[in-house]
Amino acid sequence: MADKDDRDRSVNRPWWVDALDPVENLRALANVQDFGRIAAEELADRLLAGRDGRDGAPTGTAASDAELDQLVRRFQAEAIRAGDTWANFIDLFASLVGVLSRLPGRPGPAPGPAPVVLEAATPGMEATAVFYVHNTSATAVGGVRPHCAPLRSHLGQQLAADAVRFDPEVVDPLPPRGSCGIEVRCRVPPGAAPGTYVSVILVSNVPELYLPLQVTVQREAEA
Amino acid sequence: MTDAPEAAAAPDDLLASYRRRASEEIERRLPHGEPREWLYEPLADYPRRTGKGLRAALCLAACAAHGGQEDDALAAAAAIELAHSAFLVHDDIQDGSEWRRGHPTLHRRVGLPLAVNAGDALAVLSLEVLRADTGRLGRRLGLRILSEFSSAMWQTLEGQAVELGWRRDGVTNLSPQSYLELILRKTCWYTTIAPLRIGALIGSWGSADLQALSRFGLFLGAAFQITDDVLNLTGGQGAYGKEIRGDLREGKRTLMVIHLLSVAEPPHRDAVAALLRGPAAERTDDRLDWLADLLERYGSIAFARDFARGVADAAAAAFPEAFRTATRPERAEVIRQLIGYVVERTR
Repeated sequence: MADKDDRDRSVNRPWWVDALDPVENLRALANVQDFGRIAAEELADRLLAGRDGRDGAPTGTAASDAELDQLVRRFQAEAIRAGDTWANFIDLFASLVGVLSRLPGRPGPAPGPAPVVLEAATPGMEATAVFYVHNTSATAVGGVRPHCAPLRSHLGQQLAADAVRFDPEVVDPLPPRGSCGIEVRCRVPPGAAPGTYVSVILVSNVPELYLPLQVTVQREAEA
Repeated sequence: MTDAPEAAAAPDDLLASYRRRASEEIERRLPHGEPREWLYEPLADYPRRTGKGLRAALCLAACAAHGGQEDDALAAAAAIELAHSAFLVHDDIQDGSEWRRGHPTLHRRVGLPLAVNAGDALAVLSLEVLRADTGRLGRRLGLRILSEFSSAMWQTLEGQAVELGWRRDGVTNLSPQSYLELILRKTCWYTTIAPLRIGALIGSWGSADLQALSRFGLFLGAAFQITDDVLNLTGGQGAYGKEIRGDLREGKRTLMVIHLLSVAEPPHRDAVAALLRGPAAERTDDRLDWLADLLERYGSIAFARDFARGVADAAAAAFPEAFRTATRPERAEVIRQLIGYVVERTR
């Protein structure tokens, strides 16, 4: 085995070589286990983070939120067993719970994907936002059409589904490993009561995607 | 319905139990008919050889931990094992391997053309098993599972292409990180990540938290693969089942080889790189003895073992979060036990 002085001292050597050299740095060798753990964790952070937008549950969720999250998931699972229609309804319910849990008085992040939040608007005005649809598969997906259910406030007031428009209305096809930005526009109908309205955006042929949608309607004086 | 194995049993026994159930399911799904000798018998060869059963165990236990019955995921577990067999048939051909699970490789037994065809058939069969299960799972969940499965298969194919490319183009300037990235694709996705994700999706009917599971699966799969590489150098052929030093003969860039290339004296380093870049015929028994001796003397085998233990530590740390949303976390104890097993096993 070579003496350490015989070794190549080039500054171009990778940074990890010295740390792994058993002769030059026995202490570093003893830390190989740490190196393995850190290298693996860095890889996971780099390649897996954000891969499952729908499914990733945030860390650090408060205990009560975690329990609520689990309850919703169980409810959701049971409903999905009953059929797709129910599942969509329960998606909406889960989103609603997620939004409600983020309201003042419920500190801490809520479970579920980040909602599409439209700027506050007064009746007669239009609010817009953009969300992205990603095709992570190796094949093109046709007929990618976003749609959503009527928006509801916690008092049961409703904004009709046709108040919401998507641009483009359909993406056909969405290329393999491609993304497309879709603008969502909500025209608040005259006479709509002030408050926060929520719904969920679903996208045809992208079954794993659902996005809570939130629109705040302000009184005209507040705008 | 079948009772779940006791989590307190030894990991080998646990795996054997899951393996048996998956094997019964596979046996039920294997097609029969003519041409038996030229297709259906070669196709059934690898699935009938005794593997470790890791993929089936992860899939079934993840399903149970997320509220399902283990039997709900049996077809998916069988499909994953069939795809694994398909990969092995082609992998053995690409590597020129001679032994698989203690017996001659399929292409040695039936000839190259029939083995290639049997590998293709196994891949088709794995998809067919999943497609047939779509009716039971429902269109929405069934398509989700198919999508998970095909995505994992693509990852595997990409990883395999990278490894074959490294060998064809004589790439030796590699780091542990590049090796980890390779095995994430080549091994982890279809060995640990996809079985966990698919099992959890079926158990929760589509509502499981997959991101933390993927992270845990990556760590478990990487620790498994690094240990597999070490066993290829140090294991006894009887227990290990493959050709000992087969990876060296095939010129594979394992973590041990990458370590050796980074710490060896320049003359040794250059000779090792030349041997890896050269044709397989130059990697004779004598040269492999020399290479194995270098790996031992430079601490490369010890390095890989310790590195694998570190990755297993990461798996242990990621485990609670991975099953945080499981509705029956006690059923995930089987999986927790596998963390130590994958790095301490001898086969």
